[in-house]
Amino acid sequence: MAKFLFESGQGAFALTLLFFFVFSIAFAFVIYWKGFAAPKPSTTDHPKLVRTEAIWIFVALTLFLVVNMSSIPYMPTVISNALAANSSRNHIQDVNILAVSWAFDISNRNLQVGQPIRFSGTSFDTLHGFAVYQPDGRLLFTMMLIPGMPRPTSLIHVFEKAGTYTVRCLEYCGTGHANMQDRLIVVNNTSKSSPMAGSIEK
Amino acid sequence: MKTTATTVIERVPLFGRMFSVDVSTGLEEINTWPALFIMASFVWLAAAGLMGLLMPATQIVEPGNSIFYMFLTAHGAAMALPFAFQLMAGISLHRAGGCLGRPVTGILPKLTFWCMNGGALVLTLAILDGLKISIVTMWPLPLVGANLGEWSNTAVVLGFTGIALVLIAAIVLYPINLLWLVFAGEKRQELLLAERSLKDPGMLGMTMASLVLLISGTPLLIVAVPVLLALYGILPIAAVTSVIRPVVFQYAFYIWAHNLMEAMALMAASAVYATLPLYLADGSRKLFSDRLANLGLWVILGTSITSFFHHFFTFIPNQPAILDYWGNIMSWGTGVGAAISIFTVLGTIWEHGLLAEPGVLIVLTGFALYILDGISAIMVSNVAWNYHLHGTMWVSGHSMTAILSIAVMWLGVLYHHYPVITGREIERNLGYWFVDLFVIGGFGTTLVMLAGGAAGMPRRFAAWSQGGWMPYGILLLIFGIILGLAFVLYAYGLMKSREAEPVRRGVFVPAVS
Repeated sequence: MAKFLFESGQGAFALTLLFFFVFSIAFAFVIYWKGFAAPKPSTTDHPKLVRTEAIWIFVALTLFLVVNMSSIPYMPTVISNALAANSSRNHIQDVNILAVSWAFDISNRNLQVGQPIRFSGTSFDTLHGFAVYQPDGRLLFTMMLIPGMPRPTSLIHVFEKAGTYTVRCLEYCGTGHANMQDRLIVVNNTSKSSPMAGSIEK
Repeated sequence: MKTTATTVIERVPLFGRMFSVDVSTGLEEINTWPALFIMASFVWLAAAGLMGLLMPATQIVEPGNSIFYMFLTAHGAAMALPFAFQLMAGISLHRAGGCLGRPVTGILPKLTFWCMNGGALVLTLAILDGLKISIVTMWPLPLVGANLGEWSNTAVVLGFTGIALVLIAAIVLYPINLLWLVFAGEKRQELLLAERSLKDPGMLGMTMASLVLLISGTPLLIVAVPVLLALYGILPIAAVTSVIRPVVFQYAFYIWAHNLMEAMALMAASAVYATLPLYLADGSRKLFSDRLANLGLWVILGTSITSFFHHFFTFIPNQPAILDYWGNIMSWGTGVGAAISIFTVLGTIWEHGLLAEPGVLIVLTGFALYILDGISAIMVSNVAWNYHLHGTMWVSGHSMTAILSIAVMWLGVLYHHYPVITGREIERNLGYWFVDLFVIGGFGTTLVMLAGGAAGMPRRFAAWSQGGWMPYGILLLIFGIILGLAFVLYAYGLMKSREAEPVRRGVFVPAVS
């Protein structure tokens, strides 16, 4: 459940719909009831409404805390830092990217499942993105590449599934933007044990 | 009293008729320039709406055609500042004038109007000349595009001149004008419609928003001025580009752009707080709690100022992780402010009952859409989700919805102020129809964009057929047409407006003894 929620845009969409559904029901009910069905002042005590207000703010705060705390293990910054900290145990493969209008120069396009890969990207001319799409079309992760930076934008990622991953630029970079694409081929690891075994627990 | 503003309004066909000012009340000094702002915003809305519909239409007819980027740039450029911001500027200046008894005249409103509209026109010319840089002006894209032959250097110079004029209007002139009305200027009893002070949430939010615009926009102006001077050939471009690196420009831009949206939201929330009490069934004219309303505004202000870091989560590790987490926490903190606002609005309606007039219903519809937008905003401001949503239609959906919801709240507020400005009342039934159509078109468009983004559909991307995203595009066109019809209906309501009762027009009617 948490994996679905935090590892895809659909998870965010599902939770957005849930939050909005609850809000819109309450909102529509109050407006219908107090605006059309019984448009008169309420008999509810003001202190009772104040108590309800305190409960509502407490619920909102709790909800916000729970959602964000639960998302921590799925934050690429956290995962990336954990993998980098264990770099003595896990061999991290480096893949360097140079983005230039409108193509990617990728140092290695053939990658393995379970292998930690450090994607380090720079831009030659203007803002570009380096977004990796899963074989099923969902966005796996994206990175922002701003030109002129002394160090590259960098993220360590471990592919869980084999397949052809599409790379797209997601920062508008001119009229050739939509054609700025590439591919990564991820194959299953042929060695007996995954180099990533036990390296990070979500 | 005939002014430049009245002359311009009279000369503009169709739109001029909608906003001709009532000269029988003696309130022209708080009505005329605001009316011109509002009229001009409707002209830009018409252009922006057309461009907005042409975007999906182009994609459906010929996916990949780069003319899409022209419509994209023109749509965004017209929608954000010349339409939504200018609408807000017009109504808020009128409100401030009427609540403080101070005239909206002099050099400031004039300069604001001419810079905003002159600048937007110049930018439009640049776009027609081929400048396809999107609304965000991702520096150094304009120069790179010119080097690649995508557009001309003239278009870049023209475009930046237009942008600079618009920014001066939005960052400097309008906020100073509003702050001048709040803190200085001569108070005149005959202009006072309903006295307010800074203790009122409505006035507090307006003042906060003005300060946010002024302060958050200053870094961008500091960065933009040398760039403009370099484009004019006054400074050497190499020297300027070595100092103003792209990353500096990006941060300066987002400190402003992010806070622009927050300031507009604060301004709209203050308008809701000021308007809702006027439509309560018990006639009490009281919010559920002024202190709670003010607390909500302070929480939104305090948390939103530094939440702009969420624009750079995927810039790892150049933006340190600690700033990512800070941006995440602050962004969700704005959600707490919104939760307080929700309770204030619903608590007020529950406690006092609601006169379900079209104006207040439009305000509340805009508020509901603003909440949906807020939910989508905090989702994409979570570090984990941001990596799956940044750069997708989700973000465009969020930006569009922020602008749309704020603008619609102001359109609701306009229902209330229209009789004072023009002496006429908008047809009620058309207002209810607007609400119905807007609920379908506005919420439909937003949800489709969010769903498309969740499915990975990129924003600012002229090839929707690429990842099987065209169904979202078709739905966008359908809901976009419904949304467009809603606005046409609203404008039709303005054209069909009828003479209002003297008291609604702001004419003092002595009590009959």
